[in-house]
Amino acid sequence: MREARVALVAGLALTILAIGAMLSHSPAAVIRTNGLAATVPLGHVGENARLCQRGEEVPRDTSALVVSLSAFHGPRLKAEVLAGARVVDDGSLGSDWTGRTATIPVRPPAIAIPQATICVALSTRHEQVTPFGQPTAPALAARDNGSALPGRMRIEYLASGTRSWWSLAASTAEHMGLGRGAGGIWVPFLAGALMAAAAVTAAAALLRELR
Amino acid sequence: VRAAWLCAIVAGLSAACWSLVTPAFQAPDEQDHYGYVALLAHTGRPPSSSDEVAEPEELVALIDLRYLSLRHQPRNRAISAQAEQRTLEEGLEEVRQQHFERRSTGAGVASSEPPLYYALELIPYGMAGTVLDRLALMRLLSALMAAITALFAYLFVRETLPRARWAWVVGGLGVALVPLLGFMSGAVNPDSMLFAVSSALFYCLARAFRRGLTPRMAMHIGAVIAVGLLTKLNFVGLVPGAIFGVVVLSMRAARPRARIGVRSLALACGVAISPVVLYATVNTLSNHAPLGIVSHALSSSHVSLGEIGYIWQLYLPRLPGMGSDFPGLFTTRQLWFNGYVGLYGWFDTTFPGWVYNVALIPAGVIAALCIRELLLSRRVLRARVAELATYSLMAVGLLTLIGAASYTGFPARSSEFAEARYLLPLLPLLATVLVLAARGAGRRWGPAVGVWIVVLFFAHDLFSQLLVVSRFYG
Repeated sequence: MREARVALVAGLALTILAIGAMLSHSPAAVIRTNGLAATVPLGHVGENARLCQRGEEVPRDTSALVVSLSAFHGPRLKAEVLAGARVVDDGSLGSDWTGRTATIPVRPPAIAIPQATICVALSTRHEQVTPFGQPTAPALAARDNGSALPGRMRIEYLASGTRSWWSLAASTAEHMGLGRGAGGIWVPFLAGALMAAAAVTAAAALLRELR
Repeated sequence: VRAAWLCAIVAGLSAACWSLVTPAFQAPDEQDHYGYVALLAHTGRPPSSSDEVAEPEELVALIDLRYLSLRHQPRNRAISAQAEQRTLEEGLEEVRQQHFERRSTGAGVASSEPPLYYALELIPYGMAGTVLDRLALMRLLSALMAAITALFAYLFVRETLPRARWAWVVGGLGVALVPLLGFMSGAVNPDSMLFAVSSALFYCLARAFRRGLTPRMAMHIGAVIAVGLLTKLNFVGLVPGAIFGVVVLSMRAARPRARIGVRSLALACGVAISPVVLYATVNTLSNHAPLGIVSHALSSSHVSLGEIGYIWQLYLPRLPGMGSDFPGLFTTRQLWFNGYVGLYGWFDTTFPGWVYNVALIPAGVIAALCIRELLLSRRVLRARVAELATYSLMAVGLLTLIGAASYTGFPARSSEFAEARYLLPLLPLLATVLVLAARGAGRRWGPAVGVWIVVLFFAHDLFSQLLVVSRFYG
């Protein structure tokens, strides 16, 4: 019983510490986009595709590229940032990403890279992937192994934020109260109270049964 | 039994919290499930097509909540300004003051589902005035289903592992705090009721295996199967295993008294299939396909070696001689394990990659402790092989059903239904694994390990909720 009590106290203390550490972390923020809306599907690309898009400007300190690609269970992606023909940055994302965007971490460049070409290579997979963006003239369009797509993909550039979750807590709590019928600032407090009640009930059940 | 209720309360509280954390319609197919209930409320009939047209009020909510720009796009946030809230409220008020005739007879992907869950949701639907208030109350009914799931999971381990009294609570609380259970049961989705009914079925079978099948218990099993068949089509996957179990139990009951065995079997099967027979009869008499929209799906299905290979690889590594259906993907790990650890919203809300790697450590420890206990108890296992076969068949049936459904979209979509939530009808088996893991640590350290397991599940639940909060409101 003593071991169970110690384990419970230690476990809950560790959980609280982990939450504190997480809230001290700064979330990544979008520092630039290429200004295109990701509303138009630009066809499908299959296995071994290599999508390249010229005329991008990669800001300094970019920690990830968010490329508008859609898949159910996406393939492994390898991104390269080229200045002319030279690869100046790269990164990769493992397979099984899902949704309408793929976030590929890269090494933050020390300086901005103007007129960069962003290339994303897809590993061999059967599932089709759909790039999203806006139609453009073929000369400006993204290319799949040299063949022009119907337009350019939306790309966003992420970097580490400067504000921690602690400093964002008030605005986050306020946002939680919106989008509801009977919403308000009470919503996050009620959510917290429900989980606190769950923790107390679970602890009581454990201490009662594990005698 | 008091501990069972405590587990139920914990599950209900967690799911209720999830219902607050998840923005409206940002859970899988919630807009269609809501639409099904709205259609039932307005016409008194289930959907007759799979059109995806929402009622005007729901449509206004979807637009003003930026439903489409949030879904699948994790960089976008939920509405965050009072002006947007006012636009939403004014839009809803405007549409309420006008009378719109409902023309759609469909509920999107929900159209093919049986009506029981939606019929129950009519109660909260009728208790509130606006679409968002209704949705909030309907989500609470789903949260109640999570409580029932945890209750029966606890009772299941009590029946299957009667000598592990101290550890039952580990299984019950573990299930109660599974984040995916909270997430799905914090939304309007028949999965929540499916988990509850499946859990009840596992409990009834376990009770019958331990105490013997009586006609009364046979009727309970039949009734639970009937409720399951009226809840969600996925329940069909559990039925062959459950029927196998009932046949085995009936044969056991027939040894002393043949009539009781036969009567129990007839009662269980008769009650179980009665709603399907009734549904097919009504459809046939009204010149519709006997099983409604499902008939079309059944008539277009076929079994091939390719499909069997695909279903195998959807869960397990490819065997020699099989074509490679998932090149570069370790499905067990990437589809199922990672999906269980954290994939929320419209499958667009994930933890950073390292979390999935770290999660392998506690999962491995729990698996190792469970295997240790199984090896120590192998003599007991041998004596209960029929019961184990029943649960295994139920699991295999469900996995096969999900695999076959995914195969219909292959290869355009490599694994359309490879979602960890579809495995949650097997939660009572997870409860057993957790109890065995706690016991596997031995009598001295077992309670401490049990506490750690529950704290781990609680932390997982909490961090999953914080993840969703950061994604939508941060």
